[in-house]
Amino acid sequence: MPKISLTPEALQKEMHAFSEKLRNANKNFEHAANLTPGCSERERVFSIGNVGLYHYKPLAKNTNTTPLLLVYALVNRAEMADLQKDRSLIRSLLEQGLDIYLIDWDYPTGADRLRSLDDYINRYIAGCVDHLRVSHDIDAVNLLGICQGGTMSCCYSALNPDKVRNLITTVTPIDFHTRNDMLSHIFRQVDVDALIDSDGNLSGDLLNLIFLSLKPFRLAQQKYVELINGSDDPATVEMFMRMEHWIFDSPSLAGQAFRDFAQQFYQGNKLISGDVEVGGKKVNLQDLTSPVLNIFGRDDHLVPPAASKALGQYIGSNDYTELEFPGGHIGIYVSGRAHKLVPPSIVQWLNAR
Amino acid sequence: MSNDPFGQFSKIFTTEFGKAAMSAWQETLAKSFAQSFGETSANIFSSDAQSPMYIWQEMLKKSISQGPAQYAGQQAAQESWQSAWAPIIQGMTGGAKSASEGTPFDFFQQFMRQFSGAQTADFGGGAAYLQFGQFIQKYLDLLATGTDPSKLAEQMSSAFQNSLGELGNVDLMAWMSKVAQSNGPEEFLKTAGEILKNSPFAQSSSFDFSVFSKAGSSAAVGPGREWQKAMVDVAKAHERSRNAQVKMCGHTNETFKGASEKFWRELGHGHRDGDREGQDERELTSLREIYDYWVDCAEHAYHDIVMTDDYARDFGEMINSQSALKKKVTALLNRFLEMLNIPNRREIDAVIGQLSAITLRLDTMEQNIAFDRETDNATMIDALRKELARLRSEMSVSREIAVTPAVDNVEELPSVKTRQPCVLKTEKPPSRARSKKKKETKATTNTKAQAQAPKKPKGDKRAEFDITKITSSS
Repeated sequence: MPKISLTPEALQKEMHAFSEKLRNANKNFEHAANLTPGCSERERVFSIGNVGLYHYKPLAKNTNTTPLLLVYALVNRAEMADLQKDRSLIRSLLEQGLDIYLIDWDYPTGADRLRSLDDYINRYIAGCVDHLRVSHDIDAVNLLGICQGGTMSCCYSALNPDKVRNLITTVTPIDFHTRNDMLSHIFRQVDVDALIDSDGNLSGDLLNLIFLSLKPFRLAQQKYVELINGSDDPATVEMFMRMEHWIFDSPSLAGQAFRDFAQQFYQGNKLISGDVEVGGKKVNLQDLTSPVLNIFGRDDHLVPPAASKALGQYIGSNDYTELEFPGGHIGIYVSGRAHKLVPPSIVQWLNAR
Repeated sequence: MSNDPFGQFSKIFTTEFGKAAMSAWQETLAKSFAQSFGETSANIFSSDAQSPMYIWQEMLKKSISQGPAQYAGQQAAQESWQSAWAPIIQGMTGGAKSASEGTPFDFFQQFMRQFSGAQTADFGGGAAYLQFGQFIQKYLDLLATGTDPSKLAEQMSSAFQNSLGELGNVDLMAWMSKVAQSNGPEEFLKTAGEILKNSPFAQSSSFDFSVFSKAGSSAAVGPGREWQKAMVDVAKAHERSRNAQVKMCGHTNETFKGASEKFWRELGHGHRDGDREGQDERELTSLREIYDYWVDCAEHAYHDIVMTDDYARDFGEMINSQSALKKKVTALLNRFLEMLNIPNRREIDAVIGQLSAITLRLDTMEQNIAFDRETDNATMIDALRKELARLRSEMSVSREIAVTPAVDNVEELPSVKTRQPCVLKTEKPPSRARSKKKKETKATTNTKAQAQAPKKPKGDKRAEFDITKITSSS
């Protein structure tokens, strides 16, 4: 039971300090008004429709000849992996000599509502992987999947085991019906067909509201109090504003892809039973035989650790490694602690294979 | 399940401690105003018949109890309101003669200067903070005393009820109680009509709020039958959606109730939470820490509610009812748009389906050409011919969809929901020359990988990852 120990003098001091920060907040936020996430130089090297494959400019001598292809989720934008110079997963990997590519899903429009999971896996990921195989003259690439991008990477790897040399999954849901999985729980009784038939695409705004609703007191209130507390530190404000931009710059989800993902994965939990069907083929995780590094957040509220750790039970690979990061779903990419731990872990693991 | 936000409100703010805290707050505020803006400003809060607070209360009472009749005296009330402010403004602004001379902006500026801690001698922000701190201390002393919460809740409910009764005999508590037990907005509106029978809305009390739900029970006939049916569908869907929202509001109320109870218990009142008992010996030494503790309690309570089957069912119904409403509105709009010869969602969907199929084919052709440069031309041309024939066939299907008259439901469009898998998804194996080279590459890389990889017993599917080792090596 916590004990309250307050004195009028301490409260006076606290309120005074907070008010001062509140008073100066506008001035302190001015310089951060137009900041956007993304800090590393990159070039579009391949396109399939409006989906682009980007190559990041190397920052160090290459230490691994196999390119690493980042597959981001269809939710939000991939800039979170390259937020700013001192908090960039991509930049850290570049500095340690990896050759990095990323698939940019762009912003699906109403005209993309028929884009399915089959398109994302067998058309876009497959197209980009094949491009890299040809341009680098190699058999297989290294894949790094982020969140839902990790799930799609697992599907692709299981369907094309000869084209994936190593697979890294980060905060990736595999078992969608674990205890405490709030997102999966609230979606169980949603009529996904009706939702997508009426909306076409799933709007980014609705997605944001759903994500915020999972931790409303923390995400809609407390974090702004924290912003005021840190408002006299320009670096804190800048990072906050970049994060804020990233969080609310939400593309819509292509309707058919959302329908496929929600029904087969979130509601049916079919990935672990081998019943997910993509492009007419069943995805059997036993066919995933590449070495796997599975990184998950101990305090992840969107993808609970158990949902990620399930991967080890179902894949056919004999080379499976887990890395539990002491942080949450986003912290694993942008926190100071993550910056020191996650990229070196990835590089060390990859270079050993 | 409680759906009574005002009940929760009353529990918090009309307890004995709440009354004492509010009294202390008013006293502190009055002193603070007196110190900062002059003695006259304290009159704002006095119970004197000429104080703005008193006049405001009187106006509120009149507006509710007298109904339309009160408008006659409104002008006079406004004048007395302004004249009540005048001497106070005069004192605060150092000589303004009337309310019009002391603009709201002036008051706001002065208020902000006080609470932002400006070091202006006249406003003495520091002293105000000390007073505020003393007020908080008084509040916390009351908390620490530890009174029986259920007794307090009873007292405050009755106090709140009495205070509401004074406001024109409007039995809001009874109304809220009815709403909490009702099944939807219809009851809500009906009871609102009953409650407000003495109000300016009394003129419209003959309006039957159940007209919307009754409309769908009789069969529509005549030339406008389909239109009428479409509109009734929208009304019904709207009602369903509002019912779902009422239920979600109930969960929100439950969350706040659970969060408040948890916060209350864990700060040492009533029963402790079994799961946390004796585990948290933190010392909260600032408002921020207390606030963070509240957030912890609230998120915990919210999580417990979200993970119930009831919540999942009601969340699903909220989304599903909105989808249904949107679908019905779209169907109705499709009718209107077609009548006006404007392209509607159905027609655009048909075009999207057609465009999407063509794009897919083109992409696949491009990929095949890109990755199979050494393929025999004749084979490719043959494949392209077949593909073109399929494209033409699909385009004619899309056209049929586009020209079909809009009926009453957009769900009758199965052919644009799904798309045929592409035919030319013939990923050829790499050419022989490249295959050979790749095999060599693969052999080399495998050897390298084997040499670098840590030795593991065969069949060992798990490996521990040593973060410390990585950190130190990096």
